Amino acid sequence: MEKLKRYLSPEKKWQKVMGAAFIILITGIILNVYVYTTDCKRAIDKCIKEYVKDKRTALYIINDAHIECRPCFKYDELSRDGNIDIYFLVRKDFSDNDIENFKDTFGISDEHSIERIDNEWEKINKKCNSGNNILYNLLIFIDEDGEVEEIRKF
Amino acid sequence: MERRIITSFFLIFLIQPLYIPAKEKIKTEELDLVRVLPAKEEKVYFKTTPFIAVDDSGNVYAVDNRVHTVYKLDQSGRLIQKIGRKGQGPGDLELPSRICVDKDKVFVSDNRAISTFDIKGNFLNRFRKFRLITSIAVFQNTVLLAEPTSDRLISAYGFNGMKLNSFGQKYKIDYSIYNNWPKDHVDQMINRGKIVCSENFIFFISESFGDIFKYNEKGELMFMKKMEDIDFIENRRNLIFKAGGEINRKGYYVLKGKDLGYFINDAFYLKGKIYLLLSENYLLFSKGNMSNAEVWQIDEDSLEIEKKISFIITEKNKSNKIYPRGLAIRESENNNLLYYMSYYDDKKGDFLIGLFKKS
Repeated sequence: MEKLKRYLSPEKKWQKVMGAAFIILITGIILNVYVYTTDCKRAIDKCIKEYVKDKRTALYIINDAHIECRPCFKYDELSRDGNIDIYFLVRKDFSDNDIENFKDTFGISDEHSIERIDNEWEKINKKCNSGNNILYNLLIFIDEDGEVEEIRKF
Repeated sequence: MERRIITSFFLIFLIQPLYIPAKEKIKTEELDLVRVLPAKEEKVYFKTTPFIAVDDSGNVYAVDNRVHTVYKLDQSGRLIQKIGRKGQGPGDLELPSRICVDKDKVFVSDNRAISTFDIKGNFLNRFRKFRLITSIAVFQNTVLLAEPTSDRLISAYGFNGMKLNSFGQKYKIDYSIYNNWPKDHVDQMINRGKIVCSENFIFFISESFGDIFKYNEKGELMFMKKMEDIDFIENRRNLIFKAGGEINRKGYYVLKGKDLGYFINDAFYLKGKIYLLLSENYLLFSKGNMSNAEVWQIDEDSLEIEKKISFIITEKNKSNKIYPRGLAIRESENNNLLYYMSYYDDKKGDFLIGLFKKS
């Protein structure tokens, strides 16, 4: 009885509640991060069929790019590698001139297609960027079998 | 006979300096502060020193980088409207910095685009930019951007964003003296400049050295005037072209010597004259104080300095430090020149636009 009283004393009770709340919070955050990442990957998995060839593929989703501070991550390196196909998807509001200027500024080769994002990819873009203050660009690596290997944000 | 010849030569030798025309002395002028903008009762407070522009009616446009908007003020400093708001969509602005008003259009550059508004603030269109730009100007229906990291100093675009051409040779530099600096970083420091335009010519003014490059409408270099005999600039040239840079222990990119900073902060063109707003760095270096701002008036043809104009802001016996940023000039109905300058007043802690004129 004495033990139970001590166990339920207001001081101890407060500590327990705080502890439980903390554990719930951490679990929530971990779960959220897990759901977001897997959701993003799962959503991409559904949409990459047209980019799956017998080669490895690098797919860029460009929201915003700046040659001095937000360059096209790894593009120089990847474009030198003959064993990888490269595609660019840019935001819907890029005009033809914007696409041309983007190509010119970053030295994008004519071999690498640049298209505007469609509705499906726009949803994916939002999903993969949810929870961020800024819209990151995405670089998605897809292997020869059509599996998403890696998603990089930049 | 021999003695006569020698005497004559001696006399000529003595007299000849009198025949050398004395170098024309540069005039000086002092301007008084008429009023500050925005008007107090408007309760508009800039959160940073804005770049500014004026239209033909005398309205002043001020870009506040931290509020992500452009304030349009009338001549007396009353707020007419705000143009653009924070965001990424059409008509929105994010960290806007440079502005230019041409006839009935307002061009604003922000983090990702050049947006065009009409004079009433209605959004017209925008095109994206992918580089740092240090100046924006309009010349014969083209938008000119100073892009220091590009292959050329100036790029010309149509209003729809179509790149038309680029011109202007960048400064030649030995990049190897900048140990491990990215090339873009070196370019940003050396090749940044302001663009101003007359009816037929384009002028690029180097922010670092004050050198002026004059181009025709085809982008061909017509004339170049190197700013010389100024200790501040010689110092900076030596530092940048000879000493170079390194990365310090904290990981910062630093020059190998005391960096005095940029020479000019802004430039403006009006009726055959180019006006350079000198930086606070230069004021501190040359005068030892930063209590008043200085503008140099340069002739469009000779590119020589004609006049040095002091903007008197600080009352006598006070020691406010002034950090000038933007300059715009217009001619009043009485043909007087009205000078607008944005600045930060260190003592008051205010970001203001001053209207100055000759008393």
